[in-house]
Amino acid sequence: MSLEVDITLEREVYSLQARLSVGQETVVIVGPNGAGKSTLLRCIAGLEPSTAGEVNLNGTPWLAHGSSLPTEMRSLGMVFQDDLLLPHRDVESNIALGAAGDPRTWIDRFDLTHLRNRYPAELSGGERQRTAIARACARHPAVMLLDEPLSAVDVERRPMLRRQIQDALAGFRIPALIVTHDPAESATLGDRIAVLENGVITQIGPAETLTSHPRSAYVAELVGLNLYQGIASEKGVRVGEAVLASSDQASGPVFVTIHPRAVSVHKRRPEGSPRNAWLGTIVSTDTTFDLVRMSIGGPVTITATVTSDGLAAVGATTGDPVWVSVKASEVRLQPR
Amino acid sequence: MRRRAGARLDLAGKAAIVAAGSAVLFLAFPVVALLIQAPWSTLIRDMRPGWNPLWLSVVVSSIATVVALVVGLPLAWLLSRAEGRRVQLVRGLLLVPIVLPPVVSGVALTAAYGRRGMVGALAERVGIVFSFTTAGAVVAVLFVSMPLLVLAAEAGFRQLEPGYLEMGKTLGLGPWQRARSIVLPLTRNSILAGAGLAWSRAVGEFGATIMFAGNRPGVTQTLPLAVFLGLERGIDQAIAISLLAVAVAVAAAAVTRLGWAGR
Repeated sequence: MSLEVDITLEREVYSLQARLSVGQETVVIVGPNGAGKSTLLRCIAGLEPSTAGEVNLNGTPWLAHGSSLPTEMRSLGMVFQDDLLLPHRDVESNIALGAAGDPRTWIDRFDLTHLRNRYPAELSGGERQRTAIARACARHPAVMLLDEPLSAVDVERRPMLRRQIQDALAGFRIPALIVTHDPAESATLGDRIAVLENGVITQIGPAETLTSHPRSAYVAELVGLNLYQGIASEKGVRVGEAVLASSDQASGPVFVTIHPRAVSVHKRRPEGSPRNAWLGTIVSTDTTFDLVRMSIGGPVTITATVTSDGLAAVGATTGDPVWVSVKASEVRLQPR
Repeated sequence: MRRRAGARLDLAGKAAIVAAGSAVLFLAFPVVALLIQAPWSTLIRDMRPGWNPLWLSVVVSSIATVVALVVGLPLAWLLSRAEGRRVQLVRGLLLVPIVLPPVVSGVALTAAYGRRGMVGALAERVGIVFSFTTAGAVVAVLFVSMPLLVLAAEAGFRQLEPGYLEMGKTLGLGPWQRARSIVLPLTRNSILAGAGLAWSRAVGEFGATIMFAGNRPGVTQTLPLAVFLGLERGIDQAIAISLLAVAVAVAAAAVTRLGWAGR
């Protein structure tokens, strides 16, 4: 099973040049707004005519030598940013629309059983999105394309839906592409990350590779997440010896992510009383482009990103003690 | 200064109310007059000559509406998808039957589909006659009513969010399935409204029908023609048959409103 994509698209305002090969895996496509992420998915689906290129699924051409297989003949499941549920059909018959086999399997798997006779207007954003994802799955597609599948869902419900999507994709064992702009999602949702900037894939690989060898400032900023394993309870989330406060609701084993940009570094103990503040030591600094990434040892080893000017203002270098603080709202929890 | 401006505004407001009131009275009064002047004691007897034409009107208009749906909806769909000069031209042509005096439409239909008309002569060789037949009455009302359906349906199709069709394609639905499962249900109200308008227009058609199809009782004599004929036998009969037409119009308007309201 593999999906080979090599697409060129020329428009007046932008161009897209993407080449990637997706096996039985999930590739997350990230990139700034307007980079062409959605357009790439639409090209693969055949909804957007490309200027030139090829798309092959297991050797079957979807697009070759300018002839394009109609979208309805391509075995794909697609979830759009907008759920596009048909308002005159209830949950069950929306899912049944293109289903191969019994749609009830998917209604159960996405916890929609009690909602199956509701109409889209009677559902919350998350319920609608779950229905849309279940509908795409019910086709048993050979390729899955998801465009920001979690963006319309409440933050606290995302981990659950993310896991449901992962389970479904794991069951299919098919090439899957997920577009997202959320760094935390990109780190946890897929096997590999493809970074699309200005219509070109600038880097593709596992999250670790992108973190250790970012090839652009955007990548460096995007994937340099602090990722910990923790145990969440009412008191907060325990990471090693430390307990951090978080605005996210969770309990039990979780992934804890903190964006390096959200880590503040101070010379003295910060004013007021931020709940997450500790004294650490700068272990190393590394300047990529105009950003300084510094690793700070302490109760929690953490990476902070500051501008060169910001570092100068703190006036500290490697080996110096600094105060570290992180807002509770920046400590993101996702169940493991 | 401010008071004078306010006073002027008041005057304008009053003038608007007077104008609006006059318009409502002007529009409502003729129907009220029909009810007042109606020969209530002999109403059933006076209405009797109207029953057959009423039935014929309903049949003719319904057939015409079905034909308009079958050929008009695809036309409306293509118009809603396409752009360019030629499409503008077609859209302009659609307005011709609406703006043309109905009597002129009748003459035009005779020239085209009459016994000596260009198409009519050919049709007659294979045994299809439109002039002075019920089929002709259908042709006459179809000509004047179909554009209304096409324009209303096209407006509905244009409002359809294109994402729904793309979603349908990604679910493997072919063109017919997309039309049946997505387009028609989502634009149902516009289509119903258009069909209601077209049907009402067909029921009311007089000029084109009498010119092209004639006034044969039981064959082409529809309700408006019966009213016209009734007038020759006295105002009472004309009013009695007219009341039948009013009832039909109210029913049709209700259906059309229902379509709009559900939007």
